[in-house]
Amino acid sequence: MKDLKSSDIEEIKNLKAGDSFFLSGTIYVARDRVLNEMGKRDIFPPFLVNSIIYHAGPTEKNEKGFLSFGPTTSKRMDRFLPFLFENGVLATIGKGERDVDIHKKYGKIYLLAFGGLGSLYGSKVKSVQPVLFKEFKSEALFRIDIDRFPLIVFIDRRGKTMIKQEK
Amino acid sequence: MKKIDKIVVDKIVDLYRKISITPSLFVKKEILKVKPKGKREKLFIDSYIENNRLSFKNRTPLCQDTGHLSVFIETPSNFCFDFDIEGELKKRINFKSKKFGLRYSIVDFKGKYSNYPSVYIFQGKRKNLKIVLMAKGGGSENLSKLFMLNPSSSLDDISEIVINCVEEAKDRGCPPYILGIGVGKSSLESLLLSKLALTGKFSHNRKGYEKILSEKILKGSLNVKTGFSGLGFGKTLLDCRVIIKERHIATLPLSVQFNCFQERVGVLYL
Repeated sequence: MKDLKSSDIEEIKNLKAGDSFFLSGTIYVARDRVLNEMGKRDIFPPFLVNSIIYHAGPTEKNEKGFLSFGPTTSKRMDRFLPFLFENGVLATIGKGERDVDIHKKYGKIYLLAFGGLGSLYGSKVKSVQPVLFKEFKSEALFRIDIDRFPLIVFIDRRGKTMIKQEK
Repeated sequence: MKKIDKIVVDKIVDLYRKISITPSLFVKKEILKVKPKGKREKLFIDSYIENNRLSFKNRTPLCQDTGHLSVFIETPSNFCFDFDIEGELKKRINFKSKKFGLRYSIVDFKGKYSNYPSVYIFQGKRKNLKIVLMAKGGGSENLSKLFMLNPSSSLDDISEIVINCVEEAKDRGCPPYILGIGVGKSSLESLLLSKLALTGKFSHNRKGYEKILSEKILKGSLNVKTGFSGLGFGKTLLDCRVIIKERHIATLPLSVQFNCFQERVGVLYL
């Protein structure tokens, strides 16, 4: 499986549905509450342009200093995709299916992380920094540095999905 | 009158942590039965195994969504708590969640986060105290359904509706799934029955017609191709646990609850 960095923008844009790879580098974490607030107040920080957004919410760090940090269901956040894509977000990561037509319309990709495997993804998060709406706790906007997240391209920029490709 | 002291609270909190970091043996056996063929299938199975290893080694929750905790307490007839068990549980779980690395997933309308559980106490025909915990994440909880069916509906009709639910759930709740089915009583109680069935700790599939319905649903769901993590391989449904009770002559409530493959259920007897 190939290794990509979050800064490999052109390569990431052109990934094909069904491709599996490891992603490293800096990405951002946003889920329901923070995306709702950003949309309502029309806040879009410039550092999110060309960024990858991971739909997730971490646990607290335990007494040994480790945390669990897997993906949450993306479908709930489909309503925020036009806002994210119009402002230049490169791709999203989450679990489960999501709206294909929006991805086709904006020419964006959606990356699948495996749900229910929080310890695995948590072990690959090297630093966590809340950057916006810190009062939202696990629902804040975070900047995280990751090392080799296992991902599969669920929807590619032409609107093809990994499942249809298999049939 | 039998009483129990506050030590039970810490036992429940410790069990909550244990189920959060320990994979379900039943699910593990079912997942590892499947031999991966393609690259993506192998990636999922390898990731699942690695996740179990890391949860054990680092003491981190299997899933970051440590869930909404339901605590079902079945008591003998001559029993009472002489303290506010729900209040004590709220305090202790909230306090220990930080140390244990559990997530504060519960939020009130003012935006305050906690890990408050739901506590249900009911009297059973038993000599000891039985406490069942089930921690369930938001993804599978959002798939819950209540149907008020025509009382002339057959087991085949019920089975068809449930299989449609599994099909429509797609991969949004972390398949492979386990189902809890509650049929009968009122709308409220059928939901409770389905949740009790889902725990697997309250005499499901015991009556002949419960078993028949469970088998029909499991058989029908073999045609649902969602598979492990939506990748189209492995079973979509691993188990179907049914409880059927009496009903009003004009109603037939049916409740369907899903659990994800990170089934987190524990039981204590005191």
